[in-house]
Parts: sequence; C-alpha cells; structure tokens
Amino acid sequence: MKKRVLVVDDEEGIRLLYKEELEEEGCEVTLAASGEEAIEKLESDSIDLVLLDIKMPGMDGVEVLRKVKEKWKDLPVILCTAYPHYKNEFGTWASEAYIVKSSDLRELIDTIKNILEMKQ
Amino acid sequence: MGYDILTRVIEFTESDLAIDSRMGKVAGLLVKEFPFDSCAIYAWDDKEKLFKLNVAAGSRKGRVESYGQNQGLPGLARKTKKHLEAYKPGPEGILWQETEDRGLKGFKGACVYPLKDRQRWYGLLYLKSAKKVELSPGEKKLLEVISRLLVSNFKCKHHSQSLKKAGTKIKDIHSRLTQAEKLIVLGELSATFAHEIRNPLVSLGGFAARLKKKIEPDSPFNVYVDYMVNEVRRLEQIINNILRYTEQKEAVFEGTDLNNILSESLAFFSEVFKKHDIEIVEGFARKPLRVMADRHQLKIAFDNLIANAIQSMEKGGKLTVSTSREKSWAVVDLTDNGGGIEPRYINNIFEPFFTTKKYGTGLGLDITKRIITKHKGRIDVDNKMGQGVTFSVKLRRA
Repeated sequence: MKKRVLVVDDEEGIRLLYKEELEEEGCEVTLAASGEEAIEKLESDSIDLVLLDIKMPGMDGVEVLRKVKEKWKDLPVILCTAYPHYKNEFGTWASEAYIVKSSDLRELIDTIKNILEMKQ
Repeated sequence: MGYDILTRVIEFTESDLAIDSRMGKVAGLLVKEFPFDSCAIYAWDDKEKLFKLNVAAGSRKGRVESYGQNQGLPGLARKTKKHLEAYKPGPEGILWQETEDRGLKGFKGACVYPLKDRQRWYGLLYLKSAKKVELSPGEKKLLEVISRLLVSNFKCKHHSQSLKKAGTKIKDIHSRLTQAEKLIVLGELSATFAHEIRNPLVSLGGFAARLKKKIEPDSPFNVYVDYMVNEVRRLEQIINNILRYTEQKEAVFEGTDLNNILSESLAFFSEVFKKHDIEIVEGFARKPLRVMADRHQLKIAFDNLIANAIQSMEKGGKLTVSTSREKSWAVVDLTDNGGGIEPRYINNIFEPFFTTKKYGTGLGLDITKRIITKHKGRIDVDNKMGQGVTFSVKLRRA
C-alpha cells in the first residue's frame, strides 16, 4: 500500500514541489497550508509521516509538533525548515529528523524513505 | 658652569625631539663639558636582565653593547645601588682591578650613575676618561641632578610606550566592536534571509531540477536548466555561509581521522571538479591521522578551502591535497594552480567580508580560520603569484 505523507507548509511553491517529488517516489501526498489545516487533515486522514515547516502564520510548526506527539505518539515527523539554528532545540525533541530546506531534495527524500522503511 | 649645563640639559630633555635623541644630546653635552671622553646611557631591560646601550657619545673605544646584571661596573652599580667611581691607579684602584669590565680597556677613570627611582631601575649613565679625572663635589652633584633628569626622560619613554600600546589596544577593541556590530546586523538580516529568500529559492531550484528530469537529455534547453539549478545552489551556499557565520555554535570535540574528513570533503565536490576540469592529486598519510576535532566544523573549514581553490581554477587546473605528520602536528596542505593571490590582498584574505570575487560573501576564509583557531590549530598561506596558493592547516595530533 502507498504511504501517505502530509506536507505542511505555508508556501505554495514548496507544497507543490514536495508533492510532485514524493508522488514520483511512490507516496500519496496530502497538503496543508497551515498548522490548523494540518491538524484537521490528521484527524480525517490516515497519515504515515508528516513533513512539517516551522515558521507559519497562526499555529506554527512547534505547536503542531506538540499536538501530534500528544495525540499520535508514534507518527513520525520531519521538521523541514529554512533555519538551521533550531536543530539543537528541536532536533532531539520529539521529531524524527530535522532538515534544512534545500533545492537539492536528495537528503529529504532519503530521510523520508529511511523513516518509512524503519516503520515497516 | 654648572647652571649653564643644567639649563641646556633641561632644554634638551624638554624639547620636542624623540626621547632617545634628547638623551643623545645630553650624552654629547656631558662629553663636551666634563673631562670625559666617552659617555654612554644604558637602558635596563627587566625581561632579559640586561643593561642595553641606548645612546652614546664621544670615543667609540671600549663601547659595550650590553652588560648582564653582574657584569662589569654597571653590574656592580646594580648590586650596590650606588654611584661608583673607579680610577687606575689610585686609592680606588682595588675596585678597578677587581672588576672585570672589557669596556674599561684604554681608560683610566670611570664613573657610573644609576638611573633609578625607589620603584625601579631605568638604566645607567656610564662616563669614562682616558686620563685620571677628579670631579669636584659641585660636578658630582651636577651629574647626580642630570641623572635624575635622565630618569624623568626614561619615565617619559615608558609612559609613551604604554600609551602607544593602549592606543593599539583601543584600536583593536574598536575594530572588534565594529565587527561585532556588523555581526549583529548580519544576524538579524540572515534570519530574514533564511526564510524569505531560502523558501523561494528552494521552489525555484527544485522545479528547475524537476524540469531537468523531464526534458530530453539532448535537448538544447539543458544548458539553461543547468544554469538555473547551479545558480540557485550557489545562492543557497551563500545563505548557508552567512548563517554559519552568525551561528556561534559550541564545538564538540571527538577523536577523528583527518584523512577521512578530507576524503568526504573531496567526494562532496566530485561533480564540481569534473565540471571545471580540475584534477585531484591525493597524497594522504598512509596511517589514519587522529586529531581531536569537531567533525562537522572541520568539514566546513575544508569545504571552504576547497571551494576557494575551485573558484581560482574555474577553467581547469590541479588541486593537490596531502596530509602528513610533523612532530606533534597533523598537517593538511591544499595546493591549487589557479595563479595565486595578488600580493596586495594577501594580508586581507582572512578578514570577514573581504572578497576579490564578483560574487561571494567574503566569509569563507574567515570562517575557516575561526574554526581552525577554535581547534587550537593554525592556518598558513604560501602564495606564489602567477602559480598558485598553498593553504596549510596544522592541528594537534590526538
């Protein structure tokens, strides 16, 4: 069965890019443009992995991460952000991985694949 | 005569001349006005425990450049803390005979005035004559007063030196503060950069890479797409550099193999080497080179050096990377043949924001140097104009 990835990012371009790349890698992709929308999607869909931006207007990534870990304890979350600075703060806290956004998507795709494989 | 001399000494010591020239004038005056043939003023070097010749006038005979604290008449004066007179022969002949002083050869009379106050020694005044001289009590008193004036001059010299040092320090602090200010502004800017510029860049570069996958390998549009992909990567690299610069991360030290770090750095650039037709010549030490280091940071340091070398050889070249042991050091040499750095820039290359390139933040080498310094290592540049540059990094072996 196809793995379902939830991409949470307020930037439309990023959402579209990740969606296309991940679909090409054989994933099914659900999109959310805000933290609030992400929680809604998590409630309604069955998700295998969350790709989460940190800085978003309204409910930010940190809040989403906290909610996810309260409610869906075993759901892996990859923080994917423009800031390298918070790696130490969030990297070891709750999320499975911390990736600094790059136009070279190899690291991101590899990390997603690894986490999904380990989960199986 | 006494007051005339004193007036002139005061004129000299208060003049605008450099302090040593003032003392030179005084020495000349003493030879002229007193029955002495040679006058030398020594400065006390407290670090080396030596009297060092500061200025001299009159006969060059028996001029001694320095006296140790137990040597000759100066040494004796230092011990007794008193002014000394010695004659040959005479009732003070014993002092003459018992004191070995090569400076006395050819003279028959000498006297030494300590230049000191209660706290410290500044030097001494050493007067010698070819004939036996006897100074009147008035002349002796005069020389004592002149000695005090010389002490004031030495004090002046010390103060002006410490002023100069303080000035340099203030300049240094000022430049660091300016740099710190720049850093704060840069820190704020880079946070904005990171989000506001990185996100669109990721979309741009990411879609360009997707486009690359979709078009035929022999399509003429490949060139355009390659440009897009590569230029975006370069912009991202600049952002990374600025972010790294403002990010003051603590280093985590662990035992690590330097050869291994370098191999990883080289592998990282393999595509770029191919693209620019750069040949890599590896000369690694056969056994692992263990150092205590923050792997991640050292990699950044080497990445920067390699990136610099590449930029100097964009139309092809040879990069020689070698590692070796040198006593307690592990040494990495990176040599390019990109023509070298213009000599007038060589002192600036490690300064932050200094760059000769059209594009670039000027932070790469500064970051590298900071990282190496954090590792208590050193980095040296050997620049051969017209040929190339060798960067040598030395780190303590574990």
